[in-house]
Amino acid sequence: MKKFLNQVRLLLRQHRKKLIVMRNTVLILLISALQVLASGSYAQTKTISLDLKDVTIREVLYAIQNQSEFYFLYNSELIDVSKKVNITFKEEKVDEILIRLFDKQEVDFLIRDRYIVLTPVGGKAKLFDQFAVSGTVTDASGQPLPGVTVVVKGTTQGTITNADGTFFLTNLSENASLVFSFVGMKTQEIAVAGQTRIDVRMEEETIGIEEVVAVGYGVTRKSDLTGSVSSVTSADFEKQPIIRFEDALKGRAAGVQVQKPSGAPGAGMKIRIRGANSINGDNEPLYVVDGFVGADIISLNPNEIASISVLKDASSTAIYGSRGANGVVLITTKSAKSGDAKIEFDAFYSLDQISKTYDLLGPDEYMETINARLEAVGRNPQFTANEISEMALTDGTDWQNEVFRNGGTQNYQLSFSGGTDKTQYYLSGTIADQTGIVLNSFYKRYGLRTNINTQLRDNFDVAFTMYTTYEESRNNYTHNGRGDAAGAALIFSPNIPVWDEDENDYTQSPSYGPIASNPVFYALKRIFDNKELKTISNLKFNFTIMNGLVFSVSGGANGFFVNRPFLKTAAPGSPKSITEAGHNNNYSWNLQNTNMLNYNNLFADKHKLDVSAIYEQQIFVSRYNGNWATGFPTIALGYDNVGLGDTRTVGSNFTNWSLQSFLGRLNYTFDEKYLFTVTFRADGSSKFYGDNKYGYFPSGAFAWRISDEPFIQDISVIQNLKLRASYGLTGSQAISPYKTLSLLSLGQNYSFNGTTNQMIGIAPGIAANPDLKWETTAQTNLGLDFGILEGRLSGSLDYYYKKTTDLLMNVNIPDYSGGGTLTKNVGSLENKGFEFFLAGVIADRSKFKLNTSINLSANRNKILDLGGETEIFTDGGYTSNTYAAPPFILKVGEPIGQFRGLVFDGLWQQHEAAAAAEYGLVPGDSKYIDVDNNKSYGGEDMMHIGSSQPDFVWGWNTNLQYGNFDLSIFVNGVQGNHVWNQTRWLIIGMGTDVESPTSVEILNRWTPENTNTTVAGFSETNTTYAQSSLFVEDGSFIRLNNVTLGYTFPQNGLIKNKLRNARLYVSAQNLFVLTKYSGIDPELSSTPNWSDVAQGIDNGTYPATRTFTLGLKIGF
Amino acid sequence: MILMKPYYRKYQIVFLLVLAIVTFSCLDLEEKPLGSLVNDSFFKTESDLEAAVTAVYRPLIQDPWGGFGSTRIWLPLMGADDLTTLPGGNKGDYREFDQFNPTNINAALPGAAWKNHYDLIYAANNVIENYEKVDGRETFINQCVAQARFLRAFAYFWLTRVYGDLPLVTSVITDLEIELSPVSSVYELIVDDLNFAKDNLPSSWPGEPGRPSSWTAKSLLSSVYLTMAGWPLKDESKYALAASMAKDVIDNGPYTLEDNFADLWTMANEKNHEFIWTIQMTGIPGNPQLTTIVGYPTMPGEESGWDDVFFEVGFYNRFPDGPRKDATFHTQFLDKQGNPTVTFENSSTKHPYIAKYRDGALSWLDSFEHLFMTGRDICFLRFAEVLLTYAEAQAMADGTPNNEAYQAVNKVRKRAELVDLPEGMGKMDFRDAIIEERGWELAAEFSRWFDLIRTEKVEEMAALKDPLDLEPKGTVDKTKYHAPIPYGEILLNPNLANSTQYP
Repeated sequence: MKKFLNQVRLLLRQHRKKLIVMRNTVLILLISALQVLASGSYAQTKTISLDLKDVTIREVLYAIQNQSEFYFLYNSELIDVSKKVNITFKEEKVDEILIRLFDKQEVDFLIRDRYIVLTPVGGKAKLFDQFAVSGTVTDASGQPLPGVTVVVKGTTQGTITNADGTFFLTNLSENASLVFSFVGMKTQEIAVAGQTRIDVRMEEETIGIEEVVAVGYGVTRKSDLTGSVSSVTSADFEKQPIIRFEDALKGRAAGVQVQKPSGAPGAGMKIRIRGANSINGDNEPLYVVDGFVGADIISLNPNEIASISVLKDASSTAIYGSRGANGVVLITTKSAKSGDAKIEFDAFYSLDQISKTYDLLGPDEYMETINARLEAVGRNPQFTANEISEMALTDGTDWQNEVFRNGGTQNYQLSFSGGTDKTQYYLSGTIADQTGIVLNSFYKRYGLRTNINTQLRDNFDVAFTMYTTYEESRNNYTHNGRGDAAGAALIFSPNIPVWDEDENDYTQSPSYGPIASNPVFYALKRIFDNKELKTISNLKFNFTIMNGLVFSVSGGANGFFVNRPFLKTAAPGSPKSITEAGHNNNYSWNLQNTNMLNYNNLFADKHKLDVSAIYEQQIFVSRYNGNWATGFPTIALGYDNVGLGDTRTVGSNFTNWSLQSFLGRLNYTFDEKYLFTVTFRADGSSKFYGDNKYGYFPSGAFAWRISDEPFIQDISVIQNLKLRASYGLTGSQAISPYKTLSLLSLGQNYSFNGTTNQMIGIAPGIAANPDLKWETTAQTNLGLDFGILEGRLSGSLDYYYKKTTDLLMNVNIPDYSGGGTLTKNVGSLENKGFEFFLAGVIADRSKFKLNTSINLSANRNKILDLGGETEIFTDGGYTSNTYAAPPFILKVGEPIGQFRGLVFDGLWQQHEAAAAAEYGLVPGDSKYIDVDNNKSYGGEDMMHIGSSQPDFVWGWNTNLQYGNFDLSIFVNGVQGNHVWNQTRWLIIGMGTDVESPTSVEILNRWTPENTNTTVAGFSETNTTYAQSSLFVEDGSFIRLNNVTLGYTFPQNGLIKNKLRNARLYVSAQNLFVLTKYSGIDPELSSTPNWSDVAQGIDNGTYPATRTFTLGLKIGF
Repeated sequence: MILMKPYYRKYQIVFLLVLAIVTFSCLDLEEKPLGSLVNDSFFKTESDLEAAVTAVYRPLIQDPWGGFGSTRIWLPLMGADDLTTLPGGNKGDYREFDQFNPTNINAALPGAAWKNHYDLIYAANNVIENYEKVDGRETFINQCVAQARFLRAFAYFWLTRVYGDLPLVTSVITDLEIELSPVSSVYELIVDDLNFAKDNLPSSWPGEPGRPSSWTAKSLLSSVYLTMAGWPLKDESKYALAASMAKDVIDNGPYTLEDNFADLWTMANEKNHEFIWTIQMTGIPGNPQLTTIVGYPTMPGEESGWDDVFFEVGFYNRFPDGPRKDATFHTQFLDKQGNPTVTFENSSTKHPYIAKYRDGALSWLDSFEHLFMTGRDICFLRFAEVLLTYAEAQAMADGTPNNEAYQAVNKVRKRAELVDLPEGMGKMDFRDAIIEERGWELAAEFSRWFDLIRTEKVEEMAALKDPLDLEPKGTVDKTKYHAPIPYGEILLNPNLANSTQYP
């Protein structure tokens, strides 16, 4: 039996690619193929040419298979295929060839359409002698499944299904049972019981412990993992319409938070794994795409991703050493499978709309409010009663309506895949085209991918991947405050039109209006484009030196050509000559070479050893050049002819850095139960100086597969139980190059006679710190994986503790000493938390399936030491003129990302008039807690007023399949964080930026009659600070992120249409959000994505979208 | 293909070795900042030094919305009786000072009087600390150092009048724990710097009016001495020094009064014989040397202006009529074609606006550059002030005004079409008349607040507020003479919190 199965497996491996290639053609012939006795007309028409010397018969048979759609079934114990022959055929039919190839006395053959059975002489007679059974084996979705092993139970007799999933067995006893088995599928046993036709639908194995996952510099079986790795496969997200990688990851991996801070098309998202380790920022994980370290993920097409592994603990990430501290995301793109050529076409169209708009004053209410304020401060009214009542008859201008619109997304992908047993290819072309919900914003992506693997020799194979994209976007930057279309639309005067007929230009903000330009002007005439051509390619050789010893070398290149042209048209009312246009261009590349020696073997059946030694080097070079001009005689050419401007400036720059690494890993497994992993990496980086250049990052892990212990194996309910523990060090080089060098600041020019002839000025520049060293994170992880109830319920639980020391921080230098920041290694912080993942299969029948999974992570971040300081105040990289003092505080014992400001204490009421007067204030003015009681609200009165750090984040995915329908629901949430609603402050207009409020909230302002409110009254004295607790809100939310309903067309309907498969679906994203947050969306943030100190400030950010999608996936 | 196998096998080791050698070539881990200049290689040649000196001027123009060339420059001077702002709306930063209630979180203060000034000081220190490394002609080097020291003195003079005690930074090496130095130490440095400047600067810079000459240094030094003689140092010995320094400038310097006061403020005449120390601006688009004290920021709402800063009504009423008054106040508001629409009394704010800086920002004029930015030079010291400084200092030093003092002040009054000051005035009456004269002559320039604090007249003038002007909040006393040091700086160095309260 075993031998037979081995034969079948061998056969299967040899033929699988072929089988799949054939599927396409065979599909059409599916019905006729079922008629097993039909004559093989293919065999009578197909001709073959061969010219081979000194080859085995086996090789001849392969050659025939490669040239044709034939494949051979035989038992190599009975047929001698190792005999060497010399043959020459020209355009001959297969039976002719076989007759000459085999000795007629020994081998007979039977041609059944495309499969040819070779039997010893005499066998043929037996083939049809007795009871025969035929049938089709399909997978869960009804697709024919080739290569399924069909064995008569208790015998060595059997076969495998052919390309169309059919099998044919003869010489059976009527009482026999057939056993159907296939990798990744549940084995089924079916009694023949007299049936001549047995159709089988194979079900997927639900326990995924044999699943293979990518780890750093290799792959491993999930059951062999010692570290904490979350994996997401294409099956998890391919049914939903997404065009960004981050969406594929969002809510699907415990310990990973994906935040979408902007609704702009193509805008980046913020990904954090197990919190933020670094104060200085970039806490973005390291991305590794097909082995290329530090690859770009923005341009990836999620449809081309086969799997994502998220490495979280130090045992998994320490292999990435100095860049592993923030976790590592390994992305493997789809590789080809040998088999029949597949063509897949995937298309969807989405409608995007703004998820929520602000409730703003109508034009007449606005005018009344302006008058009321002027009156309160003793000035003449702006509008007469007549003007207001006339305006009341019109709608005025709804600026939100003018600037926000419905956006749309079109996404198309066409892919081709397939190959022979030695060479496989996956080719894909994609187009994504998004129009944003803010006027004149868009994102487009065109991508081409080539993934090719080929086995050149028995011991030598080559893999090549290349991905090239061109992306183009307009005005999809992070909007911030009143200086952009999205923010200006919320505060611009609703009583004036978009266009000023008299001036023949966009209207200007009236003197009583906000300090802002016309929002439609902003959107249409301020153009910030981004055009990027990126290419990443990697070539890898694997040599098998001897059994178990493999040497591999890979070389990769990642190139970026970025062109960022802009056109800043002169604002209405300004002379057109001040229009500015220019280009910022970046040309950068990154080369990587990885050399790896890997040895793995099993000794004495119990000792499994896997050792890798790697040398890796990477260089990064970036060249920048820019040109800018003003004084254009015409702006008709936009930014396309900057030379037209009469004042022109140019600039250029260069940066480089390099990294050299030595690393090794040892995996040892004893008896499949006790697993040990030790890794070590030494990184040398050019960013550091002298002795600090090299950093060393060791790790160790142990896992115990308790479920393989005899005492557990008796407990039938438990199928998998594994305990994991790991500890290790990782690093972060979260600094830019040249921080150890003292650079001068150029461009400090001045003209001594007030002409344009400026003299060149050079000032002392960025302060240097030659003592900089690595920021190091030590992480301990304890984890438990389990699978019970035959895989119906599985999950994992992890606890981790991370301590980051030598924190790299940009310490503020006082302005009296030149200002700016100095990068230092200061202090330490910790992150600790739990992650929990649970997946359940609730129903698993052929017609009805329901599975659901939930993940939850809670991270606690705490600053332990700030190099002797107890508090550091910082803007965290978010600069905004609305803050009087740094809005964020770093304090020992507290998490990072803490807001700091005045504590709002209600409004001064009339009975407090005397106390208010001590502050120079009157009833109705904002009151704050005066900590130092100096009768003035100053910086000393500022306190901690909120935290952007959530208590926990969670995601919940449910998939339901009923017949041909499938439904997936994805809900996610964040709990316990605060959001600083700067937008609300902006539109209430009580602060120092906008004197004309547009929010309807102003109607509820304080008056002697309306005292129960937090909206200050109009007075000469009031200041409502943006930097106060009044604008800090609860940012918790529960979001219905995605609902997708799909319909897969039944197989027999498709045959007529010559399709292999087809699925049609509708989907809604961000259908609703449950939140107390009063702004558009609590996830929106104007702070830079790289900063974790500065987060959670919503200041007129590009709004969030709600999306409805219709999509189609078809395969040929 | 298959036939090649044996050959491949034979050579695969060689192939592997070659591959290994190629790929294992050692990587260079040195940084190459090819696009940047590194400090160590700088300060070698005269042109290095010249570039470093140019960078000292840069902060003068760096920040057109918050620094020297912006309306914010008036922010800490708003307590004077000449300028005020809107009662409500987004002018809170100005109101704090106008109403004697400044906070240390005033968002505009660091730009108006801290960051840009200290940036200048930092760049100047860079020159003063490193010039010895330069191999060059001695005179050239000394002129470079003298420019840096003049500019440093100019910045410190401004800062100490605004804040009093200061971190007296004289090095580019960061001192995070520096203590405040008393006003006297700050003036010591200022006087030292200006003396060096006056001795080493040339008497003129042909074609480069933006550089200080020895006469510029002497003129500024006369103002410094005059200020030292008043509050808070009250070192009366400095009156004589102020007088002699000013006298030298008057008798031997290249400056004369412009005949017609209004001509001082036209764009066409911005390079003239009366301006002594100006920040050079240029209005060519794209060039960053622009000022925003023109146009919208200082124009009335009726002219689409932003009403940032305008004159107090009380000050206007006290101001003597004549061509100087006409050229100082903008009282008749115009439409976009320049036709009168409303007088200030009937306007929304009921206040007169600044006329001095309108040219260049009015769209119907040839000089029009931009509605809220122009290349108008900003004058920080002009000859009329030196004349008045001399008159005051002489009277205070000698106990009675002499003939030349009368001549000096009467020259200024004459141009304003005012009668001469009466003969035989006592020294205090004479001084008070001069202070008044300075207020009118230098209205909406940068002198009034500093004149009021050094002569301790702030309380007196605050009491004269017109009902239409903003009322002071709380009591006006000497604690309001100095601005609070910006809170952001105190956070970084708590030693800056305890400034001396001068009596």
